[in-house]
Amino acid sequence: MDFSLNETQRAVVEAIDSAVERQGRHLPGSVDKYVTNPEFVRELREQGYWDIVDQDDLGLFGAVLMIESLSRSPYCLETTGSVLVWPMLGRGEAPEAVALVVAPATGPIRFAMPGASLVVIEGDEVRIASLGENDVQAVESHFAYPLGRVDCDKLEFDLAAGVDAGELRERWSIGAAAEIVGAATAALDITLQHVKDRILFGKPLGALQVVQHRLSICKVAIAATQKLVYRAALRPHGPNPALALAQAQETAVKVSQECQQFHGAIGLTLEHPLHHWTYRLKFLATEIGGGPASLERAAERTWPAGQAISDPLADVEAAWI
Amino acid sequence: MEFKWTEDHIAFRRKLRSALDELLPSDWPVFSKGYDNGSDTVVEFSRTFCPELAKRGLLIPHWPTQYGGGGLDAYYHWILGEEMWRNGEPRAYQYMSVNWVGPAILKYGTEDQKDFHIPRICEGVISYCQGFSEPNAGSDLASLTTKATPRPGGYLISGQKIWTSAASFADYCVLLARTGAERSKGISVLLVPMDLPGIEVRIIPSLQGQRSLHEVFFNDVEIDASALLGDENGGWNIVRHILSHERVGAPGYALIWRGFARALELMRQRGRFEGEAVRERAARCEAALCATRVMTLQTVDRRARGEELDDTVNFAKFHGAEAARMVGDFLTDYAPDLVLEDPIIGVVFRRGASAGIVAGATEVQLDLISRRVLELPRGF
Repeated sequence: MDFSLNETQRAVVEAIDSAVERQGRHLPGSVDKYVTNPEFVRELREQGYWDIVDQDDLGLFGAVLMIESLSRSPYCLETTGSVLVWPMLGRGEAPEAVALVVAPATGPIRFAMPGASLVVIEGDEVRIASLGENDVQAVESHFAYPLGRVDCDKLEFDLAAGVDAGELRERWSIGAAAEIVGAATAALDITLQHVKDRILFGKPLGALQVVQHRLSICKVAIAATQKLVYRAALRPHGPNPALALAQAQETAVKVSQECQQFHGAIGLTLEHPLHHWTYRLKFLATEIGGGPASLERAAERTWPAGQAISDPLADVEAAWI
Repeated sequence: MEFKWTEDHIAFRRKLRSALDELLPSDWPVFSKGYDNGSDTVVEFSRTFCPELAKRGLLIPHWPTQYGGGGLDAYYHWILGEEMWRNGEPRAYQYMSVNWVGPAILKYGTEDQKDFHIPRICEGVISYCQGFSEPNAGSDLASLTTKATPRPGGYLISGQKIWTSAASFADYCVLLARTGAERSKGISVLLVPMDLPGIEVRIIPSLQGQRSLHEVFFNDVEIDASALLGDENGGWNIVRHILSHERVGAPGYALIWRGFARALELMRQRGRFEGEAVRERAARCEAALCATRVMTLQTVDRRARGEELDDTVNFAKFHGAEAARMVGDFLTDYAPDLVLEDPIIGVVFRRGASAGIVAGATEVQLDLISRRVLELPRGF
């Protein structure tokens, strides 16, 4: 058992954290619902961060740490698809963005845009298509992501032979959950600053116990989620990924609501950066079928049909927590 | 980072499980009166069980060897706690001796105090109660009014404690008493034998279990100065040390999880664990229990490294209480009949109801997080 980061892991977190810190929390002059940052992504790619999952000393856990840190950025960055999923497909360098969907693709898809690749999980199979200008219908929304609809019947798909659809879905779950931890942390941080600065009735808003307690509950929820995400990244088997995503999606809803609430009207404007994180959280809460589907998957894997149920501590030989 | 037990940790758990299989009566759920560690049967059982654990080197594996411990890391202590709590804590309240009384005496005690108390704790033949809360000093502990008035050679104690677990059968009380006027800077800790003249104990019947709550009256109790633990008026630091160990000292989730899984198994056998709603709700409880265990083990990791406990203790304590409540609510909604039918499910239901109150109200945890972690301003 070891809860500390090793030197390499710590170096990644410090490097990404400081890069995100340099960006600041505000995007001056922007009233866009999301802002991408291709230059930053290019830098990260050039420095080898997009290949982190295949590096022996970092692997899936190192990649998850990086995704969590990057998700604190006010910029909208596509990470889970490119960093966790694409390397499984054995197709070289990741495209501009990787959009992920479970068939049938009925709703808007995150990062489905021209230049991206679409990865579809269909039963036990994984299929890949490149998206051109005419393949995507952009969807306007408040969610702080580029969203697009695609008609899969009109796309040319390649079968990703030999790719385990279950494992791909687990990675996607873990990545989305890590994105939630990062975005929720950033949303809470900016909210804490706001309630310290905002004076009401002669006192900071954050001096009110009801505000303190509700934000403390958010802090604990994020910490709990982070632990389940780390557990899933270290041991991406059984119910761990689904449990992590289920917990994360519940946290996403709670934290986004509370952070919006304590910002009041200013948090509803596009001039204030809060929406970059809270509206990402709202969309991430719907990823891979949303909270109920994640809970159902967690239930399936925790209590497989036809098997007697016992608590995890019953197994005296269990090596992993 | 690695969330994996070592071979030695697994072997230790195996050894404990085998000792429990051998030593616990075969009708333990009934014998223990529904996993009630304050019941007369469990307390009596603990008087032979703890010395037997001590003989086998299983009582204080994590204590320094110079004090009779095994010199092993803090994870061994935790594995011991998980195994005991899964069985409703057959050590009765002696777990407190191992978890926080002994460590406090080792850190703050005089050589004479160590010579008296530590061997007895190591042999499993002494038990303590915690004389902290008072009728008007619970969450606001620093407002306590029980007095220890200096007199030649010692103190005269007068006042009242309440909600004290195990007071009617404990040998000693770790007592907080006022020795000075300043709130937290006027408090001292005394190790008080419970058989002194002037101490009166009343059991408060409770929903939690037998003898879990008491009132303790100190009517001009005379005590020698040698009972003082640490410095006079220096008790607050000891309190903080004790509470940080106590807050995550008992892995109550181990019992909650066992009862929760037992309920699910009975529901499965009876065809009641099939709908989406019940399974999703159960998965939410499972996630909360998993997270509680990992968060708690994070605090154990700090101990294992010899680092001071940090605010993650408060996170773990709050989250553990929430998880226990979630399971209690689940049982209310989906298995109220099983709460009455099965002893372990019954105790888990009871613990769910008290989870946010015992060993520090959840609101206190939230206050601590607000101030220390979020650095929000004091509002009152």
